[in-house]
Amino acid sequence: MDSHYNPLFPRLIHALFISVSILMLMPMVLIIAISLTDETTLLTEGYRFIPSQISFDAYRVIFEVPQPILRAYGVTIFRTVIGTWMSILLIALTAYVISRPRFRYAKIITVLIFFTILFKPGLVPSYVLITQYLHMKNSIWVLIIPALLNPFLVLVMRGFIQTTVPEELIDSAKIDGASEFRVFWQIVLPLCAPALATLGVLTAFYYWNDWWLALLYIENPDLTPIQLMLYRIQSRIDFLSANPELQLELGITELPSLSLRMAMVVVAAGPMMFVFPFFQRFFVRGITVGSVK
Amino acid sequence: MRNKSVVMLIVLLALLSLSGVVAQSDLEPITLTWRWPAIDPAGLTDLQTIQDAANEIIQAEINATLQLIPIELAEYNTTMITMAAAGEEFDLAYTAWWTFNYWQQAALGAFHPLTDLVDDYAPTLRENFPDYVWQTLTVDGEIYGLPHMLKAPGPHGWQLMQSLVEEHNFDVNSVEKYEDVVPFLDAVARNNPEFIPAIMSGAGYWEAYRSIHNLEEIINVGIGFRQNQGDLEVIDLYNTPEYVDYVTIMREWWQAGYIWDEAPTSTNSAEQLNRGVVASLTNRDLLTASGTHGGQLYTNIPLGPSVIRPNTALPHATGISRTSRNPERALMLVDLIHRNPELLRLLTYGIEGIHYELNEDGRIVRIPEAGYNITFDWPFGDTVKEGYRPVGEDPAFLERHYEMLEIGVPSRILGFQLDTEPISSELAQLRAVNDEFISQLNTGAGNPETVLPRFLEQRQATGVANIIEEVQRQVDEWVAAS
Repeated sequence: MDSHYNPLFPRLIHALFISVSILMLMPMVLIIAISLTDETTLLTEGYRFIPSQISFDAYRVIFEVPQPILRAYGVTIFRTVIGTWMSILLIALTAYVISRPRFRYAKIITVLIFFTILFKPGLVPSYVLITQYLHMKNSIWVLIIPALLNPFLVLVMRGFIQTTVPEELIDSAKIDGASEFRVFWQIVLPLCAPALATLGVLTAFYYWNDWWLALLYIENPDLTPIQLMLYRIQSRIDFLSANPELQLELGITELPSLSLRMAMVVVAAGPMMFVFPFFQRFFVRGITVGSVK
Repeated sequence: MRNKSVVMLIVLLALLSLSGVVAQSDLEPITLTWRWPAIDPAGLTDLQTIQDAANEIIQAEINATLQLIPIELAEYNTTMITMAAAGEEFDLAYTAWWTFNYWQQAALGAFHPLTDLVDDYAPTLRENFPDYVWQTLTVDGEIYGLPHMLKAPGPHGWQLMQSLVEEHNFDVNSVEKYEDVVPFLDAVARNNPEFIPAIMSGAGYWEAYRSIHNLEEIINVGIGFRQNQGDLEVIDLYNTPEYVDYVTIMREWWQAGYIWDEAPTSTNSAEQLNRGVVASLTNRDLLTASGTHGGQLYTNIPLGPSVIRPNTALPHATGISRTSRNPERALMLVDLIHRNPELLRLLTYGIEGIHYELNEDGRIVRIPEAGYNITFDWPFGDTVKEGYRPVGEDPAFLERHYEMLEIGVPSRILGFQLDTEPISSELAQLRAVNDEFISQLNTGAGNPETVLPRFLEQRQATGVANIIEEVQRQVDEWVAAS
C-alpha cells in the first residue's frame, strides 16, 4: 500500500502522547491538590483536583518543627552527592579493568560479578557482616558503602566501554607514553561521559529513594534520610490500620491526616523533580549512544 | 526553648553535685541500651537531654549509663527479630504480645533467663506484680522477661452515642442481654439516616458476643473452651449453640439494615468512627462509664465477665537480651524505675515545665512540640497510678482500674502456651476456610441457614477434629503439670 502523507497522522500521535502524559501527571497533581485540601473537606467531599477549601495546614504542621525534616534532607543530599560520585568512579574503574582483553583475570572477575546478581546472600548474613564485623551500624557510611558497586551497572558499563572505546585508541595513547591512569582519565572517561551521566542518574535515584539500608542499620534519629521518614509515616498508618485493636490498646487517638501525608510526599519528592530535567539530556543520549553502536 | 532546657540541665547538674552523690563504688561503670517502639523517633529532638537527666539519677544509684534507642513502631518487630536472630549485642528491649512477641522470642532463646535473678536484683518488681503475671511470663519453666504494667480486665460491651441515646430516650439500664439494644438500633435506622446504626469490620461482633457468653479462645481459628463450667474441654467455638444464636441475630440485623453495609469487606472501621457517624459499636476493655470516638461521646454498657487473658496479664514487658553483658545491672535498672517515681516520670513524660506540666489535679499535660512527646505512657513502667495519668481521661478510670483488678478472674488457661508445630498444616487450611466464610456469617451478610452448614462441613474436612485433639492433649498435659 502507498504511504500517503496524512496531515491527521501527526495530530493523532500528538493527541495520543498528550493524553498519556496527562494520565501520568494526574496522580502527581492530585497529590498536590490533596495536600492543599482542608482535612474536614477531604472527609466529607473526598479527593478533588480543585479543592473547594484550600488550606496550608499540612505544610504548616510539617514546617512548624522543621529540624527533623531539614536534617533528614541533609542526610539524603549528603548520601546522594557523595554516594553517586564515589559509585560512578568505582563502577567506571571496575568496568574499565574487566573490559580490557589483555587482563588475564577479566573473564573470571566478570563471572564473579555476574554471580552476585543471580545469588543473594539473604538478610541475616549481610546484617551480621555489617553490624558485627564492619561495625558500620549507625554511621552515615552504611547508607553509602553497601550500594557503591551495583553489579548490574558494572556489566552495563563494561559493555559500553567495549563498544565505544576502540582498543586501538588505548594502544595509540600508550605509544604516546600515557600511563594506565592517564589513559583512563583522559581517554576513556571523556568518551564515556553519556554512559556516566546515565549511571549517575540511576545511582542518584537509588540513593535518593532508598530507605531500606537506613531502616536496617540506622537507629540514630539524626541520621534518618527523608525517604525513610516518609516511609515511616505510611508504614505506621498501614500497621495501625491492619491492627485496629492496637489503637485502643496503645492509646493512639489519631493518625496523621491524609493531607499531611500527601504534603510529606510533595516535600520529599519535590527536589528530585527539578533535578531530573537537567540530567535528562544526558540520560536520553546515554541510552541511544549505548544501543546504536 | 533550647536555652531553657540547657539552663534546666545545668541547674539539675548543680543540684546533684551539691547533694553529694554517693556512687556505689563496688559497681563498675557500664552502659545499658534500651530499645522501645516509638512514633516518629526523629521527632524526639530532646532525647539527649532526657538521657542526661536520667543518667544523673541512674549513675548515682547503680553506676550505669542508660542509652535510649527509640525505634519506629511499625519497624520494631522486624528490627528486633533481626537483631535477636543475628545475635547482636543489646541490653534491654520492649517486648509484648503485639510486637517482638515475648513468648515466641523467649522460646527461641532471645532473652536471658531471669528466674534466679529476679529475687536478688529486682525485689520491688517481684513484690509489685501478682503471681498470675509471673505465671504468664513463664516459658518452659523459666522467666525470661519483666512485667512493668498491670492492666485491668475490662469487660466487653456496647458503646452507644450519647446524643442519640438522649434523642431517642433510650434506657441504657434496660440492656441486660447482648441483643437488648435492638430498640436503639431500630430508632437510629428509622430516624437518623446520616448515622451508621452499628459499625463492625468483617470479623463482626463475635469476639464480644462469645466473651459475654463465657467462651474463650485458645488459638484464633475458633478453637477454645468454656470459661465458666466443668472440665477444661477444648471445643470448636463455631460449632456451639452460641454461634448459631449469634449468626441468627446478625442476619436479622443485616436484613433490618442496622449493620454497616461495607462491613463484610472491611478490615477496619476506624475511619468511619473518626468521622463521628457511628451510632453504636461493641468494644472491649470498657472500664469507665463513657468513651469517645471521633470527638463524640459514647455511653458504655459493659456486659461480659472480666477475664484476665494472657494479653491482659502481660500487656507490656521488658526483656533482657541473652547477648547482654550486664543482665544483673539491667534488672537493677528496671527495679530502680519502679522504686523511683521521678525517674519513671522523666523517661515517660520528660522534664516538668519543658515537656509536660502537671495541672492542679495532678494530671499530666504534655507539651506537643517540646521535643519529647513519646505518645505512649507504657514503655518504661507502671504509669497507671495517681500523678501519672493524662489530662482528659475519665477521672473514674483509676478507681475502676483497681476495682477491676480485684474482680478479674484469670482465664483458665493463663500461662499455657500452645505448640502449633504438630498441627501447622491443618491450621493453615483452617485459616483459609475461615477467611472464606467468617466475614459473611459474622456480619449477617450471608444466610446462616445455608452458609453455616457449609462452613462447618468444610471445617470438618480440614481436620478440625485433629486440631482439637492435639490442643486437648497439650492442655491436659499442662493441667497435670501445674
